Amino acid sequence: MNRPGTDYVAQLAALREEFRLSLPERLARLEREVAALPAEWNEVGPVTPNALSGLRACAHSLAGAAGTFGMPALGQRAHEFEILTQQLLTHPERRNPDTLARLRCLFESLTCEAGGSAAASPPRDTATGAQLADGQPVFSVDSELPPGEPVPWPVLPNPETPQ
Amino acid sequence: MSPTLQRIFYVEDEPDIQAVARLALEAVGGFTVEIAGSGEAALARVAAFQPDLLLLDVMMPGLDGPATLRALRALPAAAQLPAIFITARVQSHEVTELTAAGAIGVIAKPFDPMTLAATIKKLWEARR
Repeated sequence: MNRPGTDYVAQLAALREEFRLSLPERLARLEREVAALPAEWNEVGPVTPNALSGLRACAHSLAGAAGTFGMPALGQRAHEFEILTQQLLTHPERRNPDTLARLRCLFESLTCEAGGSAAASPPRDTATGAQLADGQPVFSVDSELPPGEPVPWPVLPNPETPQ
Repeated sequence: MSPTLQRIFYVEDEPDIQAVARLALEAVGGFTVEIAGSGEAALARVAAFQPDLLLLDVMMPGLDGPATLRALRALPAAAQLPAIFITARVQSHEVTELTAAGAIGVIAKPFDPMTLAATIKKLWEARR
């Protein structure tokens, strides 16, 4: 393995900044997809699976990128959103006004988190020059994830279970 | 097959992840990396690249990761290549399914760009 130089760290930081700047457009797209959902979700129309697929794809993309770019809280919100859309895709019987409201609530949470991440001007890690966000090192040099080690995503409660 | 890991063929549809992974694998790992944006593109390009290792995303439009691996296995150029999946789906039953599909390991997303190359190298060496 090569020891990463300052150029490498600078390139990673540039990619992260590019991602951060793309967040408003990504959120706007997600918002359009959420707005396209039916106002009353009592019936499953042909448009619903397509809309859900689009939402899931947006959330999946955001979850993967945010986590990799050192924005774990945003990645987690996006992952939760992705899980719910996946559940609604595979379990049409769960599409009802309550789950629609939950989906919109998750979207609001995601938007808030993204707003914070996009606005954040993270401090610089003096050891590596890497940026810090969400209180976590963006590019940790010392930490090493064992092969196959699961990322501890919280398990979402079943939407059918009373909270 | 090369005795040392030098050439990695990565199938990943997300441009952000492609960029970070390429940087991490080339700059830190010193590997030569070729990226295909879909399973279909991978089938068309894998033979020309002659990789030592396949690295595959799982959730992709069109052919997903396991389907891509199955299709690649039908090609002489990729029939015997070690493969690693890289995915957010890392619950134990999902990892079991992916290894049963023929992978030598599963790497969790989001990954740490600083340690990705080392993790892949460990899996490569542990396969023997």
